[in-house]
Amino acid sequence: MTTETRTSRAELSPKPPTKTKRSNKAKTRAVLTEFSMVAPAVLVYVGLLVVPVLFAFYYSLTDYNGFPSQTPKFVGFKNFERIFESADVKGTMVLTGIVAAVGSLLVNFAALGMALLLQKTNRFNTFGRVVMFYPHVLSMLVVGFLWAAILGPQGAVNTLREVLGQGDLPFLSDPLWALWTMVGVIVWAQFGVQLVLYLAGLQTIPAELLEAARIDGANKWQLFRSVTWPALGPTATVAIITSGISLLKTYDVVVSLTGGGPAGSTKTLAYEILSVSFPERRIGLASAESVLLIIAAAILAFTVLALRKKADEGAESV
Amino acid sequence: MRKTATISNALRISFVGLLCLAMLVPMYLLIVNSFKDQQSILSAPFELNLATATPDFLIQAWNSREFSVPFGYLITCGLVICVNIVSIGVCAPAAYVIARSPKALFRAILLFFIAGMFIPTQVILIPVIFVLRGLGLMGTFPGLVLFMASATVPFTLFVFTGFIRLLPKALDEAASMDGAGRLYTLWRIVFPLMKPIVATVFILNALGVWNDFASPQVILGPGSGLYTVTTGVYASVGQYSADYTKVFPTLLLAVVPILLIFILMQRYVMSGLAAGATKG
Amino acid sequence: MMFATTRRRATAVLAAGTVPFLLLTACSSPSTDSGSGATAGGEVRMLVNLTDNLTQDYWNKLVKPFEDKTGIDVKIEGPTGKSVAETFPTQLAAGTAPDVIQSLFPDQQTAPELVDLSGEGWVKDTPMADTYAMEGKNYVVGVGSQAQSLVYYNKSAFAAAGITKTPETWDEFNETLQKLKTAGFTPLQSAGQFMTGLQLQQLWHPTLNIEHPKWQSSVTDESLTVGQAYQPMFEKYSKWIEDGYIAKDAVGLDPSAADANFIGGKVGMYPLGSWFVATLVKAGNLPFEVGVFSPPVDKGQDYPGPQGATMATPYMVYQGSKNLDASKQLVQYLVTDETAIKTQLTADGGFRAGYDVQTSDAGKDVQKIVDSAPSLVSVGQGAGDNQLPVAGFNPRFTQVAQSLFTGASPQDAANSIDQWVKENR
Repeated sequence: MTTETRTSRAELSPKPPTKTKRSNKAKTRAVLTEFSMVAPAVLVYVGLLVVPVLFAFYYSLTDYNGFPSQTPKFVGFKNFERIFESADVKGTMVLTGIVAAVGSLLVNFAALGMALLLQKTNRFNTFGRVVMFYPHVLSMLVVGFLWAAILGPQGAVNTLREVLGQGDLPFLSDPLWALWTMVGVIVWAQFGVQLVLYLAGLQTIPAELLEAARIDGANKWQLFRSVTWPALGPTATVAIITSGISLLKTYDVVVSLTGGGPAGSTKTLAYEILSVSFPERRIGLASAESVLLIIAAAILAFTVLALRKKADEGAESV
Repeated sequence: MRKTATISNALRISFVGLLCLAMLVPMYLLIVNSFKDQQSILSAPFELNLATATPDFLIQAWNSREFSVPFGYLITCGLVICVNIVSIGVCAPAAYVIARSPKALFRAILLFFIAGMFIPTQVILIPVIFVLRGLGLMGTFPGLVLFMASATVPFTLFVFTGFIRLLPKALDEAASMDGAGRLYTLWRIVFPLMKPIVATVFILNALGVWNDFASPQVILGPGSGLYTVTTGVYASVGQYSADYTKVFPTLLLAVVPILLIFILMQRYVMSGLAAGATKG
Repeated sequence: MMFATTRRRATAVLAAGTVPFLLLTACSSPSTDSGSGATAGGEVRMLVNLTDNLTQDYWNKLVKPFEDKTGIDVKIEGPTGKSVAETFPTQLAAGTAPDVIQSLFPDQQTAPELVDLSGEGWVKDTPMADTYAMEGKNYVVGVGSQAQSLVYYNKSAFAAAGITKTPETWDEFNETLQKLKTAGFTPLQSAGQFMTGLQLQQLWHPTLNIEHPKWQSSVTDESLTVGQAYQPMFEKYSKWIEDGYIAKDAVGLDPSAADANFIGGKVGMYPLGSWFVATLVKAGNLPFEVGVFSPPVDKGQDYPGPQGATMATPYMVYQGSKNLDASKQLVQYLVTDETAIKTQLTADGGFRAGYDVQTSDAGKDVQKIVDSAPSLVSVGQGAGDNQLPVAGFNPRFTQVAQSLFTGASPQDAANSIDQWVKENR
């Protein structure tokens, strides 16, 4: 009995180590497989998105014309100082802020309104949704050219007004008009996307909830205020972040609709970076401008997310 | 009560109808003016006169030297397909691992990727030039594909991970019990179940790639001899924006196919967008 | 049933999307082969500006005889940005710069990236080579020169307005504007984009250069500011806008639409460079006669004043070119071959001693103006050693000129350009 146990023990004792060794090996292999599966995505993402962002931060602290034969010269925060001293670049930043804020407000307002109108699924509404959405599949560059041909000094609208004996409207030749024309074109082209988001959001509202509120005698506005809007919260967060961030980088439509003019009145920051600072070979300045935009986008995203979180917590505690 | 309902419905329908009209007017102008000469565009832009309509200007635009429309389509379609292959190809395995692994490291990696969704891609194009120059990919098609794919990676990975988490774990556990490797399990068992989300991602990426102007403008440059629909339109319309017999036909040629595809597939495009957003 | 058809259609569409891609991969390989295959004389990439006058076809035809003679393949590339000036720096940074660059002039920053051609024997005899030399080095060579300070006018409009003589002083110019307006013409045609700043500069060159010869150098050594140089002109211009001599919405107008307006006969005066002669020739027979005069000067100054001039169709060679020899050959051909010179002078309204290519009436008038000018002076950014200390002057100047349309005072405009120079010098 004792010998037996001993032998069995002797037999057993070397076994566990081999087992753990083997399972260790298997584990290492499993981990390796896992890493090799994640690696390509990380590589592509880091290589072409994260590294460029880091580069932007680095170049923003240098004076560099971008030519391979030259080397960047470290200048500290000089570029940022210049940005904040230059009335011109500050104006560009304010303009970008206005486009992003007013644009995304209007886009979301229009989208939500249309979503409420086109909520029920029937033929007419489906047609309406398609019509509201279609400009989104056109590129903003094409949209800008199209509207420039329609609203320019010799475009379709002003020609029609001339025929009717009225004077021209300065859609693209007055600084304020040009700005609001541009915002209008952006809203025309972009609100369809947010419309689809709000429609999807509306579908997630349980019908019983609306029915119950209706039975309680709530009118349409009360219904919207107390049931629909709170339920749309998450959708609105997504819609506002996406439209705000996409408007922060407004570039294509500036190129094709206004070319930044008249008198630089529609120059957005992205346009300034790609069409002014870069061709003027100010890589440092352009990078500093990029850094500011990246930070603005991050702040926007996190603020909206944080507000959302707070609102959710508030809702739960009630 | 019913009467007010009908009235409000009639109001709603006429209001929406009017808005639809407003949305379609630019398209109408685009179409009718593509068949007119400069004089009639300038004197009567809204007029539709079938007697004087001519396809000459469309044919001229099609044969333009600055911008061969079929070539532009070819390159853009190639981009759409390649970017999606790269993006989905690298994201599916990564998302699978991240979704199935309890390791904190992978959760951190996911967050790291999500942060990338907020990067405004066009404003980092300048540093991207230096990265691609270092890789020797500046001014090349693969360089453009890589950058565009990297821009779609955060969103793709995010929605893929969300989707896989909802798939029952039992599926792949059964497969691994049978001795299947993880890659095999992914491509043979999990990936086929991801069809709806892959379609969504494909559509969203396709729209983004199709409409992008800044990236091909900067990365391809004049030397490559390659252009997409957007950079081609810019080359042929940008310099001659006062010649409406060039502007309208070129724009029409640029939008017709994408509009047709959209109309044929509108259900998928719009539901895909909604799905992507609600998941995200 | 319904669903099935949509699905099939969707698949068909998808398939249609894939086919071109396959074609792409199929046809991309032979094209790369031919690129490296046709190496008898190698390939030279040339970046050019494409305009209404200088189209892709024009460029291909221009270099064809050279290609046939040498076996060198010339690849014409148009800019992907607004212009060569915007695209070339991008390409330098990207490491994809072309071998030959047309339409740009060297400056302090780009000069080290360019080939100094002063060692080539044929350079000395090209027009304006000395004006554009930087410390004796020729980084750029041109085909001819372009006059930059001309006012084209509609003779019928002048007659209808009772104007018998072209204005020689600013007071007379104002009177002319007023008469044209009363007669129902657009007195002075302007346009948006680059045109706004360009025209304003062109009108002012003669007066400015009488008062401050080589004013660009004066700005560099800080004895003058751009604002001081231009404020008197800003004042005139702003007054004209206020008085309705210049249409306020012209600032949103495309430059070729402005050309069309003048050709259409609605316009009294149209300031522009000599390349407009080519546009007029292309437009054929007009229902009115076109005249040209040199911009007015201040009372007491000699008329005509110095004429602004630039090197016409300038070429530069990139230092990093892999085919330096072929690139130099191409540039030599373009600026010395008789046929090439004639083609280029005709196409873009250029002038060169010994070449009598401008045979139109307007062309001959321009030649007379150039001949009678006391001197030819460099414009805008400047040229060679007489340059402003900043890059990107013209786009910025245009923005400032446009601000006059949108309510800025002449003083604001002058301050704003000075501020910019200060920030960027």
